[in-house]
Amino acid sequence: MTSLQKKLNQLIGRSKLSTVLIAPFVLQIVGAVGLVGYLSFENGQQAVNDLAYQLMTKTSNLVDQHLDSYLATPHLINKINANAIKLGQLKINDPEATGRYFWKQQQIFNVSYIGMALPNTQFTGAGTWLKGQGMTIDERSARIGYKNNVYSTDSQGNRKKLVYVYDYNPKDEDWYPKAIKSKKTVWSAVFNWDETPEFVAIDAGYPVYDDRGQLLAVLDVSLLLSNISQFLGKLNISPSAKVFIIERDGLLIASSNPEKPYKLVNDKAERLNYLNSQDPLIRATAAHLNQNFGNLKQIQKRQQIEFKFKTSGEWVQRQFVEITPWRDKYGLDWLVVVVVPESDFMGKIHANTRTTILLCMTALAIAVLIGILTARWVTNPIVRLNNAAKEIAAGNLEQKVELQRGDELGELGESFNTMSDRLQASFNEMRSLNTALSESQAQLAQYNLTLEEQVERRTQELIHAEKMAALGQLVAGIAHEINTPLGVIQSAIGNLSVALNQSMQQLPPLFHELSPERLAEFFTLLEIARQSPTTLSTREERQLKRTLKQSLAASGVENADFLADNLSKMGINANLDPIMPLLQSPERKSIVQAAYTLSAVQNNSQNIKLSVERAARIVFALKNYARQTPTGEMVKASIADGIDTVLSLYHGQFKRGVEVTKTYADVPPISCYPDELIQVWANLINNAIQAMSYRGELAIAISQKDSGVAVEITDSGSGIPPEIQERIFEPFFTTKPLGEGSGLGLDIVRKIIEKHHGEITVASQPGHTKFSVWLPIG
Amino acid sequence: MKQAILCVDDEPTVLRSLREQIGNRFGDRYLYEIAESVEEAWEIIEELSEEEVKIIIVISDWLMPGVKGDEFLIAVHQQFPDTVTIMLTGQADLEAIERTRVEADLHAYIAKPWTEEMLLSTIESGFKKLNI
Repeated sequence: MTSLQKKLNQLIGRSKLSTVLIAPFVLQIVGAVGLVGYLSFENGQQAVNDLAYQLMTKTSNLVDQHLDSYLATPHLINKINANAIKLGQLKINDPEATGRYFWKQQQIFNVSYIGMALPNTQFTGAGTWLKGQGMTIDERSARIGYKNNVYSTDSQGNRKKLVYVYDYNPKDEDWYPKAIKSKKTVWSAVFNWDETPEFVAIDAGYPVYDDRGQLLAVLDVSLLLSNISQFLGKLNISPSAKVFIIERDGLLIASSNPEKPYKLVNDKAERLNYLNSQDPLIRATAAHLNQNFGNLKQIQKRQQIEFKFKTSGEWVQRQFVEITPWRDKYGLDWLVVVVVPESDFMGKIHANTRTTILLCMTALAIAVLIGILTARWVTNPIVRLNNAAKEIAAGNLEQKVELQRGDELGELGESFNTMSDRLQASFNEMRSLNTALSESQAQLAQYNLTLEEQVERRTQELIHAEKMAALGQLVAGIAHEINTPLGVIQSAIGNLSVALNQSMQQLPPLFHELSPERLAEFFTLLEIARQSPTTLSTREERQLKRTLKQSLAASGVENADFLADNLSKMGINANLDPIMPLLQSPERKSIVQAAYTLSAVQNNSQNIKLSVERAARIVFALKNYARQTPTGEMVKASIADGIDTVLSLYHGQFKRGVEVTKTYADVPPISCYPDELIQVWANLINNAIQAMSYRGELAIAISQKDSGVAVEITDSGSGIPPEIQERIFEPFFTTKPLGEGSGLGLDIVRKIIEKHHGEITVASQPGHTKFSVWLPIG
Repeated sequence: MKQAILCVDDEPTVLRSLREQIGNRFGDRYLYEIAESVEEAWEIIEELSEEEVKIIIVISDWLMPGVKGDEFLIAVHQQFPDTVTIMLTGQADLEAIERTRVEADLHAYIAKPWTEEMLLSTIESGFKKLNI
């Protein structure tokens, strides 16, 4: 359905407007007229058929009745005459009387001949058969020597004179022997009269017997069948209709066609078979019947058939045929055939059809004309509007359409003109607006540029602020880291001063009192002290003290506790044998005291050095961290160095309870902005230790992965809830209380990583949060 | 009965400087013990107890790996109520100091970097507290 509609729409869509407007008119008219014409034609034809058959049946019946009455007459006459003989009214041996009797009878009945033959071949009869003589009386008798004399008659039936003599024997006729043989009324065969072959006739024979069954006479009535043809010819069924009667062998009895019912063969008349009729329609009917029935004897009841036949000068048309068998009780068995061409009735119908077609064409032409005019009347303004609209579409805005009409199209035209005006006005306005807009756009672009610069600057400021905020958090820890070495240096300086003073006091008397051996051993002690490791832990030192004490006690040295204390502070764990005499000397306490004082100078110097180094390291890390280098070229730098810088800064924080595990693989330096990466590590490490509240495990692993370096920073904190893991890299997202975190930390981290074409991901569950950073070696 | 002064700090340099400073001032009158962690300090306290040495002053850092100074001093105070507790630190949160003051009868809080004068006068004031 939809596809049909689509096709219809396509078809209509492609057609011109005028075609669309006209086509329905034409279609409707053609449809209506065609349908009416067709129906009337069909009905007419049906009526014609009915009428034709009715007419044919009527005709057949008429012919039947005519035949019944016409062919009953001879037998009636014969019966009357037979009764007359039996009653003695008709003297069979008196030719004069019988001749007159038959003459009188002829006046009453319309038969061609009435006669009587006796067994002795005497014959009398009356009839009209001799040309130019009217009704004559014939006699053959002994008194005239069995010649056949023909007498003309007057109006009273009296013989006038002998007009013709001919040879005739009634026993030679068909009816005579037939009647004697069957002993009842018979029909002779149909025959042509000898003298007048145009007369086709039939004789009715009737044998008359006396009471003893002796044959008295054979009565004869001859009936001229040509009269039937005349009757048929007068029926006037339709202009071309034919009626004919045939015997079962096809020989014509009568025909409505005025033709000779015989043909001459060797100067002898022969009866005509209907196949040889001069009438083409009868011939064609004969051919069709023969073909249809084969043997005409098979037709037992009335038949109605049709066949097609082309009469000369006409076209092929249907022929209605009705065949009716006609019989009488004396043995006649004929067929009455009525043929009616359809054209006889269809003439009017065809004329009507032609009129209908003509009317149809006229109506169609008028409809098309009106359609075209209407369509033009409707489409003309539309076409003009369309052209104007096309002009407008092409940019030519000054369009006016003057339609001079008061209907909807007129209104459309006015609306169009108004629209055109408005369009022109709008276009002008738009053009000026466009100009203004271009100027505004240029200004806006300028503003945008400025804004972008401002945003860029502000972002840089924010990043720096974030960095400084992180630094602020570090400061407390860093203070401790710096203050510790400072405290050590301060006290070392004081201690150094004390040690120097003491040495100044202790050494001169010692050098003075000691023997050269003891002095040598004293220097040996100093040398051992100088070479001793200064990095013993307090626990090792205490162990050393215990060992020394036992060793000295074992050697029997007095003041072992004091000596072991001082020696352990000096870190002496070497073999004491070389200085054993010194330790056993009476001055051992002052000697060891002096040695310790001297080594204290060295130890304090060492402490100052260590502390300075430590402070310097922190300051260096701080300097690295806080460095504000302009974003310039990438440089090759070690990731591990960067991370260690941050770890140095956070060293103090870790003391609160952070256990740091470092797993650094040997990876090559990468191309990077080192200070920016330091900010990344600082952020991640700071977040990690804050996440575990300064207590837990912080694992930092560096490894090579693909063509880059992977850094994993794992903490054992409470983890990041899954619902906010997605958001932690967003700017200004923070879980810290207001004012404690800018929320920019991880956003900056992400930006820096992206700037390095790296990746950062997070995987978190309670007790195990891992930030994985991957950076290309570049 | 011998008396001892115990210093606890995770920095060996700090410990050795302290021991020398205090030793220079007070000489042989006391034993001077140093520990790098609270754990080690307890070992020393145990050893000294066995040797029947009385710890009269404990000087402890606050920020150290493992147990923090405030916890340590509170524990010492609970075990040795007479012992004078001194906190010497570069960084400690005020809460921790306050808690130590209340729960460990903190004698003094000295900020790093310390001066010799400040340290020694604080120890001496501790002696006075102990009537030494």
